[in-house]
Amino acid sequence: MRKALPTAILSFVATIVLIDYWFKIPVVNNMAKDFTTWVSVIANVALGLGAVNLVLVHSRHIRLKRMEWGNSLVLIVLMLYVMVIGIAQSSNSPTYRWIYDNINVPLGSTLFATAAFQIASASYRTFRARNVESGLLLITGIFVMLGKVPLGEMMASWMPTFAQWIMDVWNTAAQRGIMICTAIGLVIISVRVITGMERGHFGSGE
Amino acid sequence: MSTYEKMQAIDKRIIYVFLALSVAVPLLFPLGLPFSVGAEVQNSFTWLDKNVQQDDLVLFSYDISSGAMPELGPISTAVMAHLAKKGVRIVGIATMTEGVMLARQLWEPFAKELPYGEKFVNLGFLAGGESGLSSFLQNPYNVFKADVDGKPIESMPVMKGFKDVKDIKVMISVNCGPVGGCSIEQWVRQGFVTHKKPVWIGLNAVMAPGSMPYYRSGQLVGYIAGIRGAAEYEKLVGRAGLGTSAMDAQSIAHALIIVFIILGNVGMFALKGTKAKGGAIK
Repeated sequence: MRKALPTAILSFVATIVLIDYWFKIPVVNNMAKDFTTWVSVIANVALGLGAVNLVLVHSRHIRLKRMEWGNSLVLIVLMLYVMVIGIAQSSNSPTYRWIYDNINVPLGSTLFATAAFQIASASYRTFRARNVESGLLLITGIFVMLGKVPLGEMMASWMPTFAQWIMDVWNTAAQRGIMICTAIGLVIISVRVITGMERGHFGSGE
Repeated sequence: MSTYEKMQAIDKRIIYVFLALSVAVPLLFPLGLPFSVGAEVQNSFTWLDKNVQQDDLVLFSYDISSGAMPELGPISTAVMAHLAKKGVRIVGIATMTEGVMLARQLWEPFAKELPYGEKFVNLGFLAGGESGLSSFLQNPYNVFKADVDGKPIESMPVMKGFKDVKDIKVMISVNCGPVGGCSIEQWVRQGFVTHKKPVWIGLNAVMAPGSMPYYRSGQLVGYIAGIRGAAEYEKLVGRAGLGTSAMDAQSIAHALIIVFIILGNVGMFALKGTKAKGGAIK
């Protein structure tokens, strides 16, 4: 029953949404519209649930004084502080916006920017022409890297066109192959989920 | 350790320092390297320029996280500058939670050209990913009754005549990926496949290879990627910004990474050659 009922609901909803895509049956079309609206509502509730879960998990870290529990404390205090300001003064208030614009955005950008350092170091260590395939990858990578910056264009006027040709022809061909295979796999998984053959998403039940 | 071995094992901290300098110095002392506009950006610009007219309704989705702002911020600004020049109406949404705040930040420089409520509205976070988007396109008022500040939207001039997806001229998503928001594929599925509406995308450079097939097949009418795409678009709009100023830094950083890669390979081949000859390794 624990898995049968969710499977039945899932199959019913998925079938209605599928029929809605292919056929014009007013009753089914309206039901499908309602289902898609419910998703937005459920997703909003899930966001709140996520916040509650976050507080519970990190509260336990603090209570049991687990490793780096101080970070958990900072997380909860700041989260509640920002939430209270957002609810009390709105997300358009100067305080809320100051926190977001001057703390959140620079921190997020900095974290993302550190990837550039990791990529530079990883490229140096892994881009070695150890065989023909890796040699081709290396040469292609260098042309694309140069073709995408003004310096490459200064070195040779054909560089951007060549880099674009690699992207348009070779890259697109490979990506299409991957996409088509993924799409076929997705259809198969969907059919398995709708028919109740695939139950991995319910968890092990332990 | 021999010289050839050293060439293959440069300390990552040295790479980090050089990379930081290669980005910081050109930003502080710009070189002004010239660059041309590629076909993709030119075509994307031309499509918007030709097909979107005064007072047309444009759905602009700020699917951006703060981490992606250095790349997607300049793209959004350049495209919004173009749309502001055209005098269109922009309905802003965000399928990522952070996009709500970033939309506000990105709109502010255009507050005069796109007055709030008349030419621009920020509806806020659209939850539910692809299903949420599908629901919004069928009936926006089912999902949003008010804007992000709680003001009723139905009476706003910007929403005039907006009943459903049919009234949208083009859907623009400036997109940093599927984590927490709608991906390019989902925009294509809902916008182009289901509703036969033009979809126009701005995205991170790292996402460019995976999204290219949608553009090449005509499922996307616009496609600009990364800071280079932003710089090219700024050039077309005639409003130099962060994208243009980042071009020198990107040039030098790419050149530096290539130099390190070449050093590593030269070291590897030289070491192999020396070993093959049976000579002493210096």
